[in-house]
Amino acid sequence: MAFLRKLIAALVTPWVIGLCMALPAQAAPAASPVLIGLDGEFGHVSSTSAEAIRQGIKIAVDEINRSGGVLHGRPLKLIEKANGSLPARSVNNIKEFAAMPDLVAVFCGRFSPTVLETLPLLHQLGMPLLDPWAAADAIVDNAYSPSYVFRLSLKDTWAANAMLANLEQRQFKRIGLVMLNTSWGRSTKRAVENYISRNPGIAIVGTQWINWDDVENSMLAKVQQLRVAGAQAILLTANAEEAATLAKVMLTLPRAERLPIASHWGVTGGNLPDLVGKDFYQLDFNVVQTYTFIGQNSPTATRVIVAHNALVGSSNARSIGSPVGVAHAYDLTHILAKAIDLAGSTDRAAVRNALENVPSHAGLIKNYAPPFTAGRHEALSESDVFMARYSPLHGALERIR
Amino acid sequence: MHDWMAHSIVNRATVTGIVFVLFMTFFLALVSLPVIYQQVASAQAADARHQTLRLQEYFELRLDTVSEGLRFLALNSFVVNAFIDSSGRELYLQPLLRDFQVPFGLPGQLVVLDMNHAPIASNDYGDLSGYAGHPVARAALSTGKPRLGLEADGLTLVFAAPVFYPPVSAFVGTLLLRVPVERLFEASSRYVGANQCFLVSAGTHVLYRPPCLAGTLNMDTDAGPVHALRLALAGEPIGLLLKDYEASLAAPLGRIFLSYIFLAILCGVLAFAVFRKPVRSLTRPLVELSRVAQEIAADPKSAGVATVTGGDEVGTLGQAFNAMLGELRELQTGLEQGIAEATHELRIAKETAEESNQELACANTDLARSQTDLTAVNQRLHAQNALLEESEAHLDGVISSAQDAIISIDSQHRVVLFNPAAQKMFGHSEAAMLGQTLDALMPQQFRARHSDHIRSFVTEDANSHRMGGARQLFALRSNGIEFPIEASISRFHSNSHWQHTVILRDITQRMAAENALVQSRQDLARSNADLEQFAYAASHDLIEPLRSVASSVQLLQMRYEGQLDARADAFIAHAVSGATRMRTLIDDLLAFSRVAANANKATDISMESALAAAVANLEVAIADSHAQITHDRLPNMNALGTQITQLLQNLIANAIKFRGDKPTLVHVGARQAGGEWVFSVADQGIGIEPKYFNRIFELFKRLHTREEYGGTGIGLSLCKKIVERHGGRIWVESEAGRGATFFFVLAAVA
Repeated sequence: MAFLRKLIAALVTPWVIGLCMALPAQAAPAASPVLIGLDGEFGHVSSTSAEAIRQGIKIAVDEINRSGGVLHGRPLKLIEKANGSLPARSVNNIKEFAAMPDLVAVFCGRFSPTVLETLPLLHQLGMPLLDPWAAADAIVDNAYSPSYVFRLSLKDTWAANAMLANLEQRQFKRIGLVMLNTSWGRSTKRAVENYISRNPGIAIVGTQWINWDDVENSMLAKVQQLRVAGAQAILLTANAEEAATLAKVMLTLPRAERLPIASHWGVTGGNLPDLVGKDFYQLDFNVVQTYTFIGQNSPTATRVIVAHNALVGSSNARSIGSPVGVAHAYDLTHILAKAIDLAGSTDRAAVRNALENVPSHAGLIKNYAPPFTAGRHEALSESDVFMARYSPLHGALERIR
Repeated sequence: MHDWMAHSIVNRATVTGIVFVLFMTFFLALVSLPVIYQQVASAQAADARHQTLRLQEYFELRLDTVSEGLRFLALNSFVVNAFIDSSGRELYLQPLLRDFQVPFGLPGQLVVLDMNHAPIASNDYGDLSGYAGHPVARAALSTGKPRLGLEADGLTLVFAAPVFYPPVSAFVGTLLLRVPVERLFEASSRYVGANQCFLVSAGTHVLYRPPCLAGTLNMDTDAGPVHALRLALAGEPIGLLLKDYEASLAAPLGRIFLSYIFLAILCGVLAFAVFRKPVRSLTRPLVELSRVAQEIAADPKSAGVATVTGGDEVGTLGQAFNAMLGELRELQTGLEQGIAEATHELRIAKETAEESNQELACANTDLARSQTDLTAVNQRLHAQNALLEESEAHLDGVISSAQDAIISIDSQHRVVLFNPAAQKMFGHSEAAMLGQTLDALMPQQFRARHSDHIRSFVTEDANSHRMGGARQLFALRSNGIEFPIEASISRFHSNSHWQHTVILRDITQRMAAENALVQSRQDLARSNADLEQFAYAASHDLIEPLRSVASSVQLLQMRYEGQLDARADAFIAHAVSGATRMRTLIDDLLAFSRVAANANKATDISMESALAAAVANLEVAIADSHAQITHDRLPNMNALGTQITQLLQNLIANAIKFRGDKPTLVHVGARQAGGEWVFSVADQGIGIEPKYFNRIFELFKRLHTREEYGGTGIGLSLCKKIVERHGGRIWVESEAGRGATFFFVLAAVA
């Protein structure tokens, strides 16, 4: 009997010890990270937008992980891939993200044409896309049902309305359009035409399409054509590089011949004042924005500014070069975390459904109640849009009041 | 034929020459044909090689041109843009691809592949799935260089060019162009001869089989010379065989033989032409002599001569014949000339008689014209008499209406004319004065001197002059009152004696006015001197108490600034500013007053030294404003050195102060104009409107507010005073916005 007990003890004890040792090993999968993808325009020369989005996500992820993560203790982890604004590379990236089991959603970058080309693949793969910047209307207003795209950003229609209202308010009635020759530029032009059809007091005198390789000579010819057509101001849709070329051209004109510019916010995806030089501040240059850290003193804003400064080594709110990228990505990451918890799993379809059902979120930009619904995949509204200008003090974007 | 040759020396000589030339031609042909045979064979071989090389270069040019055309298309911004803007591919990329013209008019299918080697656009709407992952596109994208490849069926050449996107510094896709081999290697007749055929192959593939090889698989290399070459293309060695068919020497040699026959005929004709002419020239003089002799025999008066030239025997014969004819004709000509001369003399005598008759008729006409002229002279004399009478009446009118007294005396000094103005001036009637001397018209003390004057005037050369010289003349009215006059005397010679006429003017009122003016000037000078003395004394006496006030408020500012409230600081600042300004004002006034005080101490000075001193005094202002001072060579002047330095200093300081927003160039110039020196100070500053040219020299006058430009408004007044004290004048020439130039003329100080 004693032998039997010894035998049993000899057989059971290692099993119990092994069981005890195995318990932590079984708990380990519960702590495996939940992945978030970022398919951004890293590698695109002079672009800072992807970096700003990365900063916003990281600040939010740090806060969420410090608070216990998602799904009862699993940390969030950001995976980045560079697309350099190339749709083909973005498609490859989406495929690679889709192959990662615990990746729940992908953030996109600033370039609308790139995002638009990935939409079929995203819906084919059932991958939720979170858009913190790209503004083409068709990204959210797509034909997919259910739609996997959720945007916390501005849309071209709102931008066009804000720019034109600003110009009209300043008594500029004859507007020349300078549009980037992409789907983004065409989307903005359609929005402008819709505004004009509702507001006959303001007119478009001409449209000049620009490309990524426009040099100062070709840009000057386009500006002069608009001037000859009677333009009193320019409405610009371009990225920072093309806008810098336009600004340099404008500075070559005598002061009396320079036209005021109301710009879409693609220019804030790079450091426009640095690209132009110190004379940039001589220009009348306003840009659409949805958020500025300057003058914000809420606890959330203070927390994000401090975290941002610690992350990139900057000193104050004026150092945040692309504020909308940081702010949008920050709020969108928090909303995603709530959706993951609401879904209770990393299943992408469940997370997509949960995003439509997050009841509310007190965010950096505003209180979202709710952020998204089944019929509304835009977290912001037109009332969140305002015009800003580059302050001669450090070149920071500040709201025009 | 025999008769024809016997008839003329010319015919015989011509036939001989032709036979000789034909013989020489055939001999040359016999010798040269073997050499020509060798040359033709060698040239044929070289030509075939050259043809092959040309064909090779032509094909390489076609391949390179197509490849370059594709490469340039890959740089097009629309092509590049399509890689980041998928929705624009239908909008602008498809039209661009459809419009792309493959060089040489070749047909071609153009396909755009993205970085995943997936086709994204094409110049047609066919199925593009077959192009996905095309190996040539892969090679171009991986190497970043254009590539060329052959499709597996050997019927199509594929060109690929990578597309570069600068914003990401990477190749993002490829352009693929497929061209049928047959069309690519089509060669025009310009590069391939009629008897030539070529074949293009790559490895075992025959890429191009021209119509000349229809029905045969390979080129028959035994039937004639074949030239094999290789096209140097990227990665794909392509062979080229060119063959000459029917290459034979018979044709060229036949053509050369025919050429010799043609040459022999041509030489015969030339020999006929060349030999016949000189032989004819030998026999022609003999024929000519015969012809002239026959002509003279038929008509002895014939003028013909033999046209025989040259120094040979035939020429000498011709000349002797012509000399004989000449002597005979001279005898005949002498007789005919004698008759002609006699006839000529008779005609001249007749013409002389006719000319004499014409001269007599002319003399009669002149006599009649003289009588007419005499009548005209008489008429002119009558007209002059009438004018003389009118002139006398006019003179009487002038004398009667003159405002000045006019009195004429004869050689005995008795009055012969006493006009109405004289009667009014002296109170004597004309009747009372005629025949009297002038004594009644002048005060007692002048009468003797007057007689001497009249006598001395008679001996002078001049016919008129002013009386009295520097002395004041006086006359006597009938009421015994003396009055000042101006008088002039003149004389004229009439009827063998002299007459004198005196013209007198009463200057009583003018003298009174001049005396009053002199008195006013004296009063004004005295007043100015008093004022200047007062200003000097006042400024001098004011400076001490003001210095005390200024020092006190400055001390107050230094010690208590910031300790009192803001308003007190402002009041003190105002006080310091006011005291400083007042001190500047008084300093300027003092300088202004000193100009008069020092006016009599002129010495010889160097204007160069004065300018140097002025520039040294303005050293700080010149350095601060980056002004540049230049000058001409300046002369020495008799002037007050300190005042001239002050003058130049004020003008240069003025130029610097009103320079505007840019550094100015100030130039001090000098030029001599007659006995004066004209100095100028020119700048490039804001300038002055012409309406202010005089105002700026007035005391305390300013054109700008004190906030715009500091100063007291005395500087230019001081300049004017200095210049005027030196007997000179100062003025400005300027135009608003275009600089100003101040001129001053300096004369010696009085």
